[in-house]
Amino acid sequence: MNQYTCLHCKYFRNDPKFLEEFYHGLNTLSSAWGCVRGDAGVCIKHGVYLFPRGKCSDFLCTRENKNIDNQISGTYNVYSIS
Amino acid sequence: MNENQKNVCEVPEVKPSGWKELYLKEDWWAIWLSMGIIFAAIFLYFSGGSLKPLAVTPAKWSSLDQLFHHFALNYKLYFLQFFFWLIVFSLSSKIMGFNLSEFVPSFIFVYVISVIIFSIGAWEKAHHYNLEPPLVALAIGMIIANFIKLPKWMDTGFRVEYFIKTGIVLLGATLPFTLIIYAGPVAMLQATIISVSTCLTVYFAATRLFKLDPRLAACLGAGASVCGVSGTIAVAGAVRAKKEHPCIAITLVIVWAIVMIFFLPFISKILHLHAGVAGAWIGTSEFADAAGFAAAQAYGLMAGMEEIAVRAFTLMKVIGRDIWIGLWAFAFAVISITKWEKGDRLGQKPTLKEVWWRFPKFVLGFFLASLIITVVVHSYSMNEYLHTVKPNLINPIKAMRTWTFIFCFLSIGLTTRFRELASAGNKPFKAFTMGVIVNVILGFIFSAIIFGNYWSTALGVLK
Repeated sequence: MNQYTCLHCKYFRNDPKFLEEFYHGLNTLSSAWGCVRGDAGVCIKHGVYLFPRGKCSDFLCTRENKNIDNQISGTYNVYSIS
Repeated sequence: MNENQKNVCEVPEVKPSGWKELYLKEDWWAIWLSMGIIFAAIFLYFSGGSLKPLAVTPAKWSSLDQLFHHFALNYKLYFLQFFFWLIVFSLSSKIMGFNLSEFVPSFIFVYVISVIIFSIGAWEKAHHYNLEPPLVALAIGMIIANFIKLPKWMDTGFRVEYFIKTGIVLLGATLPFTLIIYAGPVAMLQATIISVSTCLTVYFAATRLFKLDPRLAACLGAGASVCGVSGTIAVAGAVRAKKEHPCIAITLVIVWAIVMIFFLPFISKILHLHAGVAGAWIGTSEFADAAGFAAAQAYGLMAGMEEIAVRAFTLMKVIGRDIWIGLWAFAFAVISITKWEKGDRLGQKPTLKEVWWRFPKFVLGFFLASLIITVVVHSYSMNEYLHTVKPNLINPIKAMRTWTFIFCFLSIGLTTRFRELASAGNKPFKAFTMGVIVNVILGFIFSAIIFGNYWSTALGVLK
């Protein structure tokens, strides 16, 4: 089994700014910058909102800069667990 | 692309935010900022000075001449205060990843309107016309948001949660720690009974009566009972909700929260409820911290006992409900994995560590602020406290808190754009509304009848 979770996946989006634009009203009585959200985000492949500890067969590695603190670096290649 | 390349994903730097949340999350920034204000206030007090110049607020006025005279005398202090807020909020927002070219003009707008709202609230006849600052801020904000189209980028400066969390930590400094110890357990008991009852009502209405997805039911239940939108977001991630589920719950929470901001204070006024009772009721029956503070402060001002209403609300909402968010998320994650999905997702076993990472950390700042000030004022006699400590140390902190609350209430209004909210649908609306009815009735019974005597007498502790 691969070691990577949603956090490393191209389909997973947890940038707080993206989330506040995605969920209208999130910033009205809450915030994507709050601790209660943790690192949760949206999987645009499966259309679910989830914590990024999962693994699945659709995992797709990416160079896209999408980590919560925008500090991703390194080498990114397409990963397939099949 | 060859097979080797396909099987390599070198992303060692991609990690959960973990302790980086110390500078990436607004909960922590609310603590750093508030603690800075509190320690500065203590330092100045013991140096023979006071934080009062920075904590300037509009004085009571009965004619516009008086108001203009006040600003003519104090405009330098307002500039000082404005630059203080602008610098601390801008710097922290920049570190969290906000765009300063958006934040700065937006915050200037918030501050200027807040000064106007504060001034309206200081009018001698404001109380007579129900022009309490929280309600005025909310109304002005909603009118601007829904009838005058502001650019979307201005949302960057309308940080409802950041402002309210900062205010809550500052509020801790005005709340004796002994009171938290004394009243906290009662608040927890009442809040837990009502939260669980409300959550179960919404959940079973949604799943049994309206045959909705249990994950949506969980989002709705958490939104109605735990902590509004924050509760929804925490539980949605735990149950792996469909991406539209949080949208539905967010819409319902906002609509009902706005209704309750006006409904609860005015019903409390009609029933002549004691401010402590009304604060406790609002604490159990409002959905979000920011909305609840608006309602509690509004009723406190109506009843002439602002501090009592805010204290009761804080004990009930922050201590009774907010601190359990992580535990609710964990419980729902376990139910989701074992009952709804039956192990069809890999590597997602929830751990108790999640409870900590999802804990609303600003609550720690609230406790710490209360403890620090309680220790500092402990050795003073009541006479010294009332005539020296309170005016020079406590009141300036309270004034700074009031500013953050007004920024927050205005921001709620400015970000409430009804046309942008997702359509909730008939069934979720009905399920959520059933929870609201149970919540409001149970909240009233516990606050006004079962613990009525307690909430109307227990909160007058001064230090």
